[in-house]
Amino acid sequence: MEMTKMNKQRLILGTVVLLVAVVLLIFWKNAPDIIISGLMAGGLASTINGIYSHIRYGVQAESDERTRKISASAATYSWFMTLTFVGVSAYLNEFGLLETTVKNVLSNIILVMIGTLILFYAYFARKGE
Amino acid sequence: MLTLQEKVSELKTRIKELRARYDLTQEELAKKVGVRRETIVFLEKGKYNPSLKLAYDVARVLKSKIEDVFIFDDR
Repeated sequence: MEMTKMNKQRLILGTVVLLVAVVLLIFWKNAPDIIISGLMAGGLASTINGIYSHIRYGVQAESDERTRKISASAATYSWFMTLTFVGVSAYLNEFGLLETTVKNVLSNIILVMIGTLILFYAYFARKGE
Repeated sequence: MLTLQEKVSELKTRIKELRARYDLTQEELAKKVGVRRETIVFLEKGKYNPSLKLAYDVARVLKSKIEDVFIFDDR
């Protein structure tokens, strides 16, 4: 199946970054783990993204005015829910009803942000306008 | 006291009919105007209000005027 230019670029970029990571791993004995793992994660993400987009969309437009509108609305609502969550957590913590660490709060915020974004996107995509 | 009578208009489209006339699938039409097939589906169902540009592009591909493709029905 014909591949779009964008997906080809993603695959090439991902492969190149992975190769750089492998070369660094071989030739740089004391390479910091964070650089190697960062490069590998980036390379894998780009490659998987390219393959997934190709399988899912083929040569169709990945996004258009409708999906961009839906994404913008979903992001707005998600941000509002996340801020509400942060506010509620702060008040609960202030009144001693919730004892938690900064690490837990941050990970919960990320979960709420991503979870609500996915839910709102699905809702608006089915709704129409 | 003045009351305003709200006119609610409903969008109807003749996209499906015109597509059949020119033997275009939803996917082919979507590709020609640069949108996803799902967007054409929602347009045909009248569930999505296109931008002026999109409406113009769809009408142009279907060799029709915008007002012949997209009809606002005043209720």
